[in-house]
Amino acid sequence: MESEYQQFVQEVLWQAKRLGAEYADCRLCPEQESEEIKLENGQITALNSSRSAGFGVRLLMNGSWGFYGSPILKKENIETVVRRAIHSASINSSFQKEKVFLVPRAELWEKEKVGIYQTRIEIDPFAVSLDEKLKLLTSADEAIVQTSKKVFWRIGEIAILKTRKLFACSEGVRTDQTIIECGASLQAHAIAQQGGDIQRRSWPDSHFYYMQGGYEYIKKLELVENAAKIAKEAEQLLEAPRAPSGNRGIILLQSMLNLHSHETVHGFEADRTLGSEWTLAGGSFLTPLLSEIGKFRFGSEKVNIRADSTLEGGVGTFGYDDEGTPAQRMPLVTNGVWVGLLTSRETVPLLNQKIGREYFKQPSGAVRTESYGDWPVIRMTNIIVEPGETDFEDLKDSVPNGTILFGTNKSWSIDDVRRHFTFGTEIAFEKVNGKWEIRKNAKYYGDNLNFWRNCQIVCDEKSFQLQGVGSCGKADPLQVVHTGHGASPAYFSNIRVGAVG
Amino acid sequence: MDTTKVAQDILTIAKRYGVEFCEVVATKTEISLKRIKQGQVDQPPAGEQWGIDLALVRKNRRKAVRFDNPFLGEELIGKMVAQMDLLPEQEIILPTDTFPSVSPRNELFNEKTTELDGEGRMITIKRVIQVLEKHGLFLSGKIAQARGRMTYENSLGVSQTMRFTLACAGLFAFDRYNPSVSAYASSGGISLDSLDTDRILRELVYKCDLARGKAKIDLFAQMREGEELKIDLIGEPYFFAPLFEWMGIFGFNGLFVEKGESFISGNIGNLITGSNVSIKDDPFDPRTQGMGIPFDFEGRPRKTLYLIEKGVARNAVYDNTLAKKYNHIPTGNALSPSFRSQGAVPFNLVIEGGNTSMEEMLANAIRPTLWVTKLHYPGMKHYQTATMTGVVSHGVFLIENGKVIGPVENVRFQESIPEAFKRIEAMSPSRLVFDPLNISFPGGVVVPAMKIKDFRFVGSTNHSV
Repeated sequence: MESEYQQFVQEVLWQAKRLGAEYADCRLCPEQESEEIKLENGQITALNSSRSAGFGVRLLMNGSWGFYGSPILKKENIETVVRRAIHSASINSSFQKEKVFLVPRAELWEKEKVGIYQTRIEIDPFAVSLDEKLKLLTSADEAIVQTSKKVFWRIGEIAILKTRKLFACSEGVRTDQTIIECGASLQAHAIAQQGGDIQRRSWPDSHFYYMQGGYEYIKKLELVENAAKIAKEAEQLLEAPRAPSGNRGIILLQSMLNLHSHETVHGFEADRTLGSEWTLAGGSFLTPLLSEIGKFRFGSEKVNIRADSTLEGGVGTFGYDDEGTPAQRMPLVTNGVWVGLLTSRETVPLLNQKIGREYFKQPSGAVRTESYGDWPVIRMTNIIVEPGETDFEDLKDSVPNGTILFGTNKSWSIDDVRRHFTFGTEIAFEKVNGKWEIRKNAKYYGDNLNFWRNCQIVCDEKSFQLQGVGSCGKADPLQVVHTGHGASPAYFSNIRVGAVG
Repeated sequence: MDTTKVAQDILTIAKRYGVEFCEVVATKTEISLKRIKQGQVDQPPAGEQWGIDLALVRKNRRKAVRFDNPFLGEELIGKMVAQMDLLPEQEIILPTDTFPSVSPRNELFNEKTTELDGEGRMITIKRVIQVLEKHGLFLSGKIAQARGRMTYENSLGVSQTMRFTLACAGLFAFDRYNPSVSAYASSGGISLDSLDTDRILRELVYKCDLARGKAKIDLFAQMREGEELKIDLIGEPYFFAPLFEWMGIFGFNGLFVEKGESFISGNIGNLITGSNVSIKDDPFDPRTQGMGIPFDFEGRPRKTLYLIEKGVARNAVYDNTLAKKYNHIPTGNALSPSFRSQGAVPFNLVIEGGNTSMEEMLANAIRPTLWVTKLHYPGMKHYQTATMTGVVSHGVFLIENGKVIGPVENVRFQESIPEAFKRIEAMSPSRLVFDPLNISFPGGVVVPAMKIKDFRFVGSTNHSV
């Protein structure tokens, strides 16, 4: 951390203490930079970049929170911003019935220590020329053109993002983290005839396409090779039968299972479990079960889910969360039993109170913000459905005829306690006489506990895929963060399937 | 430093680089929000925000940049130009239209609401808490306030500025001893005075009282798995507002229409809903309560535009580029420069209502009817038919023979919205719904409560473990 920033955050914390704060933290973003390129039907329709910098101050006074953020990173602005946060806390304290209490940190922070985290990259994506990126997208676009005349809309996108964020708090913690993310995707929209059915295929996904790392990730996506594949599939879908209705065994491919676990694990966020999000993001079916944590059967014994902010390449990977808690691997479900939650320093004591014992010792390090000016909230890090032991090809061979295999996600919705869900996919396959036949407009839906308890097989590490969603929304004002997800394909029995449209 | 000076300074810098066209949207907003949980402030996000969105066109190349620090213009423009020169030339549709500056609209702005210290809102909240406590309820939700100023300038000489203030309260009441008894109501507008807390309190207390002491009815408990339920629906304006917002983005957006992915693609001039449905994008309708944005993000003065008139699809919305590409007239619905590839959207949807009050709708519901309040997690299942899904919550009741039978467990619908709009049996007068996820810009939907015959539900929340 450069001395100018050290002095800046020191001044923020000193002003907060001088004005009466019991605790204060400062999130300072010296620079956030992004670049997006979008090619549609061979033409550049977006060539955007962005730049952001600023600081936000969160503090406790009289046991109440206060907050203020500003993009004006000037020393003379510090006192104004801190005074506004103090004023906010002062007003809020007139309502406070129970003072905010933060669980003590696990370890004393050494004086002068600055916790550093930096994404490991092979190729700096900002150093790769626009020309090279455009050539890649143009080649992929051309591959779609060459493959199908039915594809009338072609989209190729590359996005790169670099965020440097500093954190300092009145307990002495100092961190300095630089995170680089990259993403790319292709879409092929095919139409049968003017005014007719439209079908879409995307690669690797239409919303799960970020990874933490350098431009090497984009190269690994093999956009050109996969462009032809999705163009062909989009055309095939036009003539494909609609998915059948009824109760079936289903296989979810990685991206669909990743989205399903994403929507499920929202219910493992402690703020939802404690009811703080009832009025916005929603609640959790786990709320009335808090006293049963550690023994409640959430899924079949095949289900193991963890939150892991240490995993290389995940967009939920960091050194420290946005309140200075170190990154960690936190089991959420072990052999089907619910064992953990995504927590913050504030929610740990509240949870233990509800559970009736000191179940949680420390926060899971899941507090994140989209930007310096945002209120820190509990978010997913990297949510991993741990691989099992079955080879994917063996699974496909072994499941009965009538099984439906669901591919890339297309639509999603889940109720406000994370129980009743409906998911639609771009593509599906039905096993008929031992062969996998293509189906369109497929959906599966039902009760989420039933879903996880009917998990029969999770495939092995060989088919594991780590992905990153770029559009997870939560908080008010809305914050959009990237969350990581990893899974292998898995088989679930007795799930309701159908078709839409 | 104001937005006009920032925008003009950026134009001056850009012109030095010899650009053929430059446009700037500069916005400064200050917000203060109190999220309340069980009668106390749980989260108090607040701050000032700058948003500058700039596009340059030079030698048949276009690039946009967004930033949040008004001092960065010089550095970023230099960098943009250097990058642009390395790009291949493209066919760029340059704007040629110029417009007079629209007069400042005072109705977007309320002096009293510029004070963001929180004290005004706290008086409101304390009163709501006190009333709810008398009824054995606690308050959760939010109350928010913002003030802002936006300028659009371009190198053709178009110059527009507006200032605005915003206030909204999205409030929930929960029974002190049984949090499954809950209700939602909201109110919003350009001023704190526009917050109709009396109506909010009436709705919250009435619905919680209706639900108290009664077990929730699970409409799907006795049904076979996969069986669907068609039941008449009475929806509050809160339920319909997000549906219309989605239809605005994915249905009336000229980009989706031209791609053939909208429910009005190929249907302009055709009857697509019941003839009692009229939907317009109208900044001048007095029911927007001052939320009408006077110009779009290309600086084009806005106008009243019918999207559906008496059931007939009339128009989609287009920005300059989309309009010229597809041979339409720009409608005053352009997005900010960095977001133009996403098409154009209506900013002030107004759905014409009727004359039936909510009380009459409920009293006239003889067949089993579901009365719903809030929509959770809407999703578009199929774009071409505008088939949407979502879960209803925080005030769901079964009505029969004009009486409330009891509270109902949350249920999920899946329905083609235009098809459902062929079965509207009654509408209340329309009113503004403004409870945004980000209180940073005027908006909202003017929408009625509606009764729709045979709405399609596909499942319910199961609480058994």
